[in-house]
Amino acid sequence: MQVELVERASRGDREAFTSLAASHVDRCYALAYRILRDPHRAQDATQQAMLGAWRDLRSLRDPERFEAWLYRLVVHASYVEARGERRWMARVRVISTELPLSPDVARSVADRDELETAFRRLSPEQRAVVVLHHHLGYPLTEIAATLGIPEGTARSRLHYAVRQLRAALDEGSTLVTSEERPA
Amino acid sequence: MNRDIDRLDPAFDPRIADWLEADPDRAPREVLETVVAAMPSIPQRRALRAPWRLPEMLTPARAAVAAVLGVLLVGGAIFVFQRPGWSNVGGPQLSVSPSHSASTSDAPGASSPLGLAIIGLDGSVRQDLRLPVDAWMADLSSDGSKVAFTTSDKGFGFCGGCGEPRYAAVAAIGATGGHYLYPEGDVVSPGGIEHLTWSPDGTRLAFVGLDPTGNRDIYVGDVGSVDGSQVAALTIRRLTTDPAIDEFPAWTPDGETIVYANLGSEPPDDSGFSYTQEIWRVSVDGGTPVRLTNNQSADTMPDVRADGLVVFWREGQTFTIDLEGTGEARLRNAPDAFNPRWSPDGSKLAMLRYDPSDRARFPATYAIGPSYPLLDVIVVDLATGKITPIGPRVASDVNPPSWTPDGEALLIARYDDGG
Repeated sequence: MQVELVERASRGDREAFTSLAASHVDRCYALAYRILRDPHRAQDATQQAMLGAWRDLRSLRDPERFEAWLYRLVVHASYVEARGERRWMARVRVISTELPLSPDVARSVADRDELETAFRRLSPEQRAVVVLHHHLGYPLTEIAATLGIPEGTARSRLHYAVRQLRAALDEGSTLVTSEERPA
Repeated sequence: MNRDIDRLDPAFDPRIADWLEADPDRAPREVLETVVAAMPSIPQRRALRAPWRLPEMLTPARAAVAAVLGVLLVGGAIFVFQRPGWSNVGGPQLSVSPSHSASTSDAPGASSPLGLAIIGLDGSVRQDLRLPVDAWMADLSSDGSKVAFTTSDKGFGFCGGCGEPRYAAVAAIGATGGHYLYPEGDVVSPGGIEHLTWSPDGTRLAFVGLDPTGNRDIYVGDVGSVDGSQVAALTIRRLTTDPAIDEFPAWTPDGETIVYANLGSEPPDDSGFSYTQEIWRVSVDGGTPVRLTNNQSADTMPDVRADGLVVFWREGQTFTIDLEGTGEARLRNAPDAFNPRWSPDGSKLAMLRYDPSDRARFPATYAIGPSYPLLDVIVVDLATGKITPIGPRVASDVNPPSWTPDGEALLIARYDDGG
C-alpha cells in the first residue's frame, strides 16, 4: 500500500503524498525533536524534510526505501536547524518554587538533567546516531545506510556519544573541559 | 522499538533509551497543515541522473559508471565553472507561502536579490559578482582581488548553510571563472568547510573544518594562485583539536596567529550562545592555544585590527582586548549588533543588526521551511557613534561583510528584494 502511494506521489499525486505525510509526520517529528531538543526547531526541521521529500521524490529509485529516505531528510534538516541562525535574547533565570522532591524522584530528575546537558554537548551528527540507535532501534548498518555514512563512522560517533552520556550519568565522570585542552 | 539490540550491542544503554522514550511523539497539527498548504507551489524535480547520489541503489553497472565519473571528478579536483550558467545552480524556486511572489532572474546582466556584491558605503552597487546565488560565508582578500566562499553542490538548490556537500570556492574579482577548493593533507570532510578568511597576504585561508566525527576545528590552507586555469588544491593543516566547537577565525596583521571563538564546555542555550564561549588565539604553526577572555558571558565573533587590537561580540555589546588578553574595554559607541569587522583604517566597524520588523524576513522562497529574520548591514563610526545603514541585508549572522581596501565599500552576501 505504501509503495503504491509513493509511486503515485512521485507522479505528482498530492493526495497520495498527503497520505504518506500524514502517516509519517509523527515519527519524523519525534526524530527531529529528539535530535534538536526544541519543539519549534523540530517543527521547522520536519516541515523542511517533508517538503524536500515532495520536491525530490522522483529521485527515490526504490519506493520501499521511502521511510529510510525520509528519515535521512529529517536528520539532515535537523543538522541545518542545529546550525541555524543565532539570536541574542535576554536570558531569564526561572526560580523553581516546587516542593522538595523525594530522593528517588530527585535522583531521577537529576539523571534526566545530566543526560539533557550531556546530550546537548554532542554534535548534531552524534545526536542523530544516538536517536536512531536508542529510539528507533536501528542497528549500525541501518544507521549508516540511513545517514549515508560509512558504518565505521556511525560506530565511532555512537560509541563516543554513548561514552559521554554514560559518563554524565555515572559518578566520577571526567569529561574533557575547555581548561584541559589538547594542543 | 526493537529491544533485541540491547542484548547484542555494548553501545546500547537502556537509561538513554528510557530517557528518549519520554520525549513527545506527536507532531503539532500545524506541521502537516503547513506541508499540505505549501505543496501546490513546489514543483517536483526530475529524477537525478547521477547514480552516486543514491548509494543504496547502486547496481554493479551503475557502480561502474559512478566509479568512472568519481575518478574524473575527484581525481582532478578541478571544477571550472562558467559565469552564465552559475546563477542557475539554484534550480526551481520553492515557496512555503503561496502569496509570496519574489523571483530571481538568471538572465545575464539582470540583478538578483541574492548573491555576493560589492556595495559602497552610500548603498550603491559597485559590482554584482554574479557568483553562485547560494555563496555563503564569503571573504574578500585584503587587496580586493579575490573572494573565497562556500557553495552547495550543483542541483541541490539554494539553502544558505545547508545542503550536502558544500564546497569551498575561490574566484578572482572580474574573472569569468573560479575554482572549487579540494582539501588535501589532513583529515577533513571536503564538504565541511566554513568561515573562510584570507590571510593578510592573500596566500592562505583560515577556516573551520568539519572532520568525519563531526568536530569543528580551526584549519589553515595554502592556496595556489587563482587565474582561472590552475588546480585549486588547498593544502591544509589542523590547528585545534579540542572537542568543543571552534569558529570565526580571524588573522592577526602579521599573518602568524589566528584569533577565534571556542564554544567551551557548556552547550549553547536557546539564544544560540553559551556562557563558556571565549576568545582564543593559536599560532598558524600550531601549538597550544591561548585564551584571551575568561568570564561568564558569551564572547565570540572576533576580528583583529591592523594594530593588533581584537574586537568581539559579547551578549549584545562590543568589546576590545589585546592579543595578550589584557586591556579589555567596551566600545560604547557600538550598537547591539553582530560580527564586528574593522575597516582598513580601524576607525569604523561593519556589523550585522537584526531588523525587528516582521517585514524584514528572508522568505521561504529561497529556503525550504519557514522564513528567517534578516539582518541589516551597518557601519559605525567609532569616534562619533554615527550609524550608517548600507542597504542590502543578509540572511544570517555567519555572513559578515568584508571591506574593500579603500574602506569605501563592502563585500556583502546580500538578500535584497527592494522591499
